Amino acid sequence: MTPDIVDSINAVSDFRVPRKWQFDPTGVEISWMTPGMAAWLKGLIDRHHQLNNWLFKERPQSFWLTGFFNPQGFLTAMKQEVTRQKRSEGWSLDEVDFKTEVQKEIIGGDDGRIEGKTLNPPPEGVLVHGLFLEGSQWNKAEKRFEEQVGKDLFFNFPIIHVSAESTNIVSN
Amino acid sequence: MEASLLFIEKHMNQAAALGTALSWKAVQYMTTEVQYGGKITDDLDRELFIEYGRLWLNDSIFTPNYSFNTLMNDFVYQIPDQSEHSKFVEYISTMPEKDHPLIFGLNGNADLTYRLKESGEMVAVLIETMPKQSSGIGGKTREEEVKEKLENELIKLLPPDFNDIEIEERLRALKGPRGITDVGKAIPLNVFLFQELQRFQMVLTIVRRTMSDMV
Repeated sequence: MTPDIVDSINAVSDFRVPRKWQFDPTGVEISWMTPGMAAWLKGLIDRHHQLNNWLFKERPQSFWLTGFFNPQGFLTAMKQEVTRQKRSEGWSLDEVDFKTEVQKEIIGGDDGRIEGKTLNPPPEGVLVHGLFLEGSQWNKAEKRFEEQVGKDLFFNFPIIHVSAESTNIVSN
Repeated sequence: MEASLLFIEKHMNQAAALGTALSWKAVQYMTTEVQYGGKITDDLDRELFIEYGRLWLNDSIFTPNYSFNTLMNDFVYQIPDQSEHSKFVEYISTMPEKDHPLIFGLNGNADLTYRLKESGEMVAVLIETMPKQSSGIGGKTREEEVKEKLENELIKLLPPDFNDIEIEERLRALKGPRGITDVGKAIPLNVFLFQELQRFQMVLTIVRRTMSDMV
């Protein structure tokens, strides 16, 4: 029995996440950080759910942004797609910027699942969800932040439509 | 706190003896920057604390009916206009047990965050100090208990593996957004999906392996 296995057994026995699941041998994070093992395993199942549906069913109507390893890469890929959709209008990748708009619907819970929701994906860009606010809350009607009033520390942020816009004045 | 009180006392005696005015600036600096400030590691916390010093360490606290709190009136925090020790003690005993965050200008949830963190830390310490070799009911060892838990529950929870050939096959047919006729890896988001699947599978493989190593 190696020290690694002993460490893992102690972790499972204490409901903690074994170190090997979260860090590679050089100490780099390889997965998501949760305080306990149950939440970590739930994260594994939820992430599998999104990727599996995307691969075997269809592109999700709204993406669980926080369920990705590389959300930045996701947004960059999205920007490339929009630029390509707009190629005929003379857009080029070095002249586009992100454009965001907060939507009305909120996808509750922390598992990122969208089953049973009717969403209207926009023709360009993507809908993303899974973001939370701490220390503030969102006023839907006036589309602005406001002081927290409830006892909940975290506020489920509404879906955001993320897209791209051209920064080139001529093509605008 | 001790150091701050000592400093203020000394400073006041000195000012009284020399007949000079009290330097609130010095008191504020010594308390918020040196004595307490030296212990505060978060920059924003320090800024807030210095602000408290400016607000509560100045001449205005001696004006009659001065109140330290301006935002809430459940209880008014004042310096009693008395000279007897017992009157002070009496006043202090009427103070609420729990100070509402509002008197510090904070949202009510600040207290919730603080208490959650505190109890979280305590639970972590309790778990840490639990006996490691539990020869509990039935005399099962720690290893045996973990093995049972893995076999009966955890291994069954794991989702199936993504298989490379299947991924390639499915990806080839995966469409892009409206207006783009390309399919598969010619679509940026499909390439992204491919990378995510690889990283996910890497983690899943590690988990599956450590679990089977343990039983």
